[in-house]
Amino acid sequence: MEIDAVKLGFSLAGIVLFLFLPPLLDGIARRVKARLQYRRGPPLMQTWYDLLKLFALPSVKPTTSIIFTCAPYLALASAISAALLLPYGNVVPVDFGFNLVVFFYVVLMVSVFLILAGLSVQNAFSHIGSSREMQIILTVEPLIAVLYGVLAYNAGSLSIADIVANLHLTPSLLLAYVILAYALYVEGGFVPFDIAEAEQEVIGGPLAEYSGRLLGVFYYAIYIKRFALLWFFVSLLTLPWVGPVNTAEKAALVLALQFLLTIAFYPIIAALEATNARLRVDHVVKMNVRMFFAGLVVLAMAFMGW
Amino acid sequence: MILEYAIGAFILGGLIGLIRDYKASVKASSFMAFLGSLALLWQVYAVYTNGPVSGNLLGIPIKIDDLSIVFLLIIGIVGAAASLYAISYMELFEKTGKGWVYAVAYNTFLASMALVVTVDSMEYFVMSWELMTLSSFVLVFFSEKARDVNASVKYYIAMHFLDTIPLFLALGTAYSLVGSFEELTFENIANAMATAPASTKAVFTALLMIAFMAKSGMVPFHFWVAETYRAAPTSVSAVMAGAMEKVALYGLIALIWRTVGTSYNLGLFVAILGAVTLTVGTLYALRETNAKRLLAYHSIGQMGYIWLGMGIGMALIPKGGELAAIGALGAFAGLFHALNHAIFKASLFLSAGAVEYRTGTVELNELGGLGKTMKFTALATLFASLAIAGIPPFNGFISKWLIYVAGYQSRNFVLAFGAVLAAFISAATLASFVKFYGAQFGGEMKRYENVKEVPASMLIGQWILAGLTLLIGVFPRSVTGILNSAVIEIPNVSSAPITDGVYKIGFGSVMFSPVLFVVLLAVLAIGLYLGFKPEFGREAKPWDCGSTQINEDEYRTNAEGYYNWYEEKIGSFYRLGDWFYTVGAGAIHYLVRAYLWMASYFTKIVDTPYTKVETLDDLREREIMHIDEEAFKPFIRFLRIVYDVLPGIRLGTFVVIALVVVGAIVGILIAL
Repeated sequence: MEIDAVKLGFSLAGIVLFLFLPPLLDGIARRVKARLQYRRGPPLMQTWYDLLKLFALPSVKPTTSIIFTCAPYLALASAISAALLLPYGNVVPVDFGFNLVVFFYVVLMVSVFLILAGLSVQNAFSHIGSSREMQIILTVEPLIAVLYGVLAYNAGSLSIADIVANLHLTPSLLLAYVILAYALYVEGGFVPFDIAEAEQEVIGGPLAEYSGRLLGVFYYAIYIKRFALLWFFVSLLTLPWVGPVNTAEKAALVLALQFLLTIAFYPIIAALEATNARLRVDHVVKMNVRMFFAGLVVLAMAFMGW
Repeated sequence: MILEYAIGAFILGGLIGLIRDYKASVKASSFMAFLGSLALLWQVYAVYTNGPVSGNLLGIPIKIDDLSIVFLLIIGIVGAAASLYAISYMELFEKTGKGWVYAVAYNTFLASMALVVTVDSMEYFVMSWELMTLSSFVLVFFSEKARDVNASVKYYIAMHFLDTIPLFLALGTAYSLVGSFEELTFENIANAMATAPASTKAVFTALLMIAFMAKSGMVPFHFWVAETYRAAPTSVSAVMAGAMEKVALYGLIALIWRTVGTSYNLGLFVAILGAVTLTVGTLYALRETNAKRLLAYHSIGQMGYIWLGMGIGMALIPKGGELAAIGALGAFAGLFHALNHAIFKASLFLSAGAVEYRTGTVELNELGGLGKTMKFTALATLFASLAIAGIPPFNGFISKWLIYVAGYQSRNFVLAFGAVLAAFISAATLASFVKFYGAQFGGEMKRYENVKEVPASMLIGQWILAGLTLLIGVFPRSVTGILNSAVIEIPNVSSAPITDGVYKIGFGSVMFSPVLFVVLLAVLAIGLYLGFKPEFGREAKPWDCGSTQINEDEYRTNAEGYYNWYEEKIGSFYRLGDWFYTVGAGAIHYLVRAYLWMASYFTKIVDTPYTKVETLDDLREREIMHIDEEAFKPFIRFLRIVYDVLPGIRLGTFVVIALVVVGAIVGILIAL
């Protein structure tokens, strides 16, 4: 029973983390960006304030479509499901399939609902945004597919638990980390890859027609998705190298490490965002295709045992 | 055998169709086809619970084992849904007025497919196969539009060269080994093959491989698929894409794998073929804007997935040990995907047909805003689209995921690369179906404001399949039993490849629990919805930057514009593919010309240098002469002349002729 209590504790810690932290991380990013531009910047809780304000406002209704109303909730549910599938310490809160493919597909579902939402209204801007989001997925998915290959060959399994236990350090693995970081950055839709929601270009893309509470729910889902991707990266970076996590104390240490790394990575992301301008769609496609070919080389390296 | 009832229903359906009234004819025959399909499902259940049956059906040896019933299940499900749907849908073609053609051909088509997967004799296998090709050919040109007729002719000639000839040659090879047509059962062939020289085996395998590749639309024999599925009535396209393609897979397993056996290299070949096909087919589908052609290209792509899974099985099972288990997983996943593909692809075809039924077009650029008026069709399309794109918790996800697991864990670069392509193409499939759904049902358009939902029988047909995509996705256990026992039928597979409980499905430590996932997602989504209920303030038209002149129907992205950039960036891929396509299509073009040249001798044609016979239509305009007519024509012509000339003859002339004839006869007699 004691173990269960520990598990429950870690799960709760995880749930609190992924529910509370994502908007706060965005707050950190905003502050960092402001400082880079010699501004003072908003308080760290600003994104939370924005969200709470949005939750309180009624939405404008541009269509009778059911998908338009349901999509934000489904997206948020998918994002939370993805976050529940991540290891906090060594505990996965809800293990419905702790392997790479399932995780990435559940993350993908957030985008799918975003795209469907954009297509449900008669608005060219929404449609353009949706098709751009889809093109990002279309070009980043091959990269992730290559990473499955490298990790699965390196550890002999697609199960994340096995990967964490059996990963061994090779040059190809180091390169795979680089590609993984790139792929997750693109999938997170950070600048310069924010072509789908580009406010100045396509007035928010799929979100163009959203307002009030529904918009807040969508934003929240996107923040949690970004958090999940980052947490996944951090977990893959730490868990294989800390050795078997047997005791609650060690698990707590690992959790702290994951937490600190997540916090530490966000300013880097923010700095990248602040110093880059949005790319054009064709540039994104080109870059991702280039990375895909680089990834194939890494995959070949992995199979040669390097 | 319950199969008898099924075949009986199909025969009855064909006969009923002979009544004069078009509507009554198509409705009654479709209904009989529906009953026949249900009987097939009953047969599946009977064999699954009571074990294999064998027997004789009108002199044809039948053996229904655990492998056959997977394919009977596919034919039964797709046939039942499509036939039910056709009861209303076939009204579209009333102006052709030939209900009986449809009735006979459609029922024959279903019956012949059922026979292909159940007969236990290579001779009857080939015969049923030919019957299947012939009846589907008739159905393809059923609309009698010039473009459709051309497509059907190309289909038939392609099948003639790539299916009929290799199959007959293979039949001959088998006959030369066994020595009797009556004893050409698969078991006898397998026994004969065991001692046959390697070259015979290679020839037999190669011939069959060509036939099955062509039928399932593998690259480079995929050129016939798109136009054929576009031309056929949609309910027939659904059966062709859902069931007919899978029959080739049955051939691959039953005739190649079980009789000749497999090797690592053959498996690798099949897997590479699958990987190439899934890439080519799906990327071509991505830029298609005709709904039926788009779906057709996706059928090619999805068959690629199936062959990839089978290839992994064929390559790794001979290796034995741990790899054999992964190989069995690959074969299982391929078979599972075949079933899933049949369900969601048929469902998508039926939905495209429903849109065609109400709007008269399948051109995605012209459609839009139907989600408001055709809610149930829209939801069915969404389900099937998510299923084919492999989004959990729909059935497509489970089988694709198992293919990935088999490919990635195969510890073989080529197979892993196949899995990379498969996972990548899954995203392309998603993109394509986002377009497919969005272009038809997204937004709101004035042009289609008064469109009504389709009749109940069409909705039921769609929803049988769309419901199954979710049901199998959430409870894969409902079909894993039957698939497991089918995979055990494959030689050298001793135990079921899949571990599954009520809540979980997976392989080794790689598990997925669809039930848990669905419950979690549903609880979260519903909880969030109720917790943060959406509040709507006022209603407003979508923001169009304050424009006053804009045509609201055009204020959207049309299907063409979705992935412009991406398509441009991979343009060289398309150019390469187009080149291959022109080679294949060119070959078929000249074959068609050769057939036309032969056919031109059977029409009344004035052969001058200015006479051009380039398409079948050029010949159809002329009067057709029949072979029998041709043979007797000189004699008839003579009699006609005699008949015309005799009454006008003068007595003197007659006497002279008579004297000449009598003189000639006497002269001949003397000479003798």
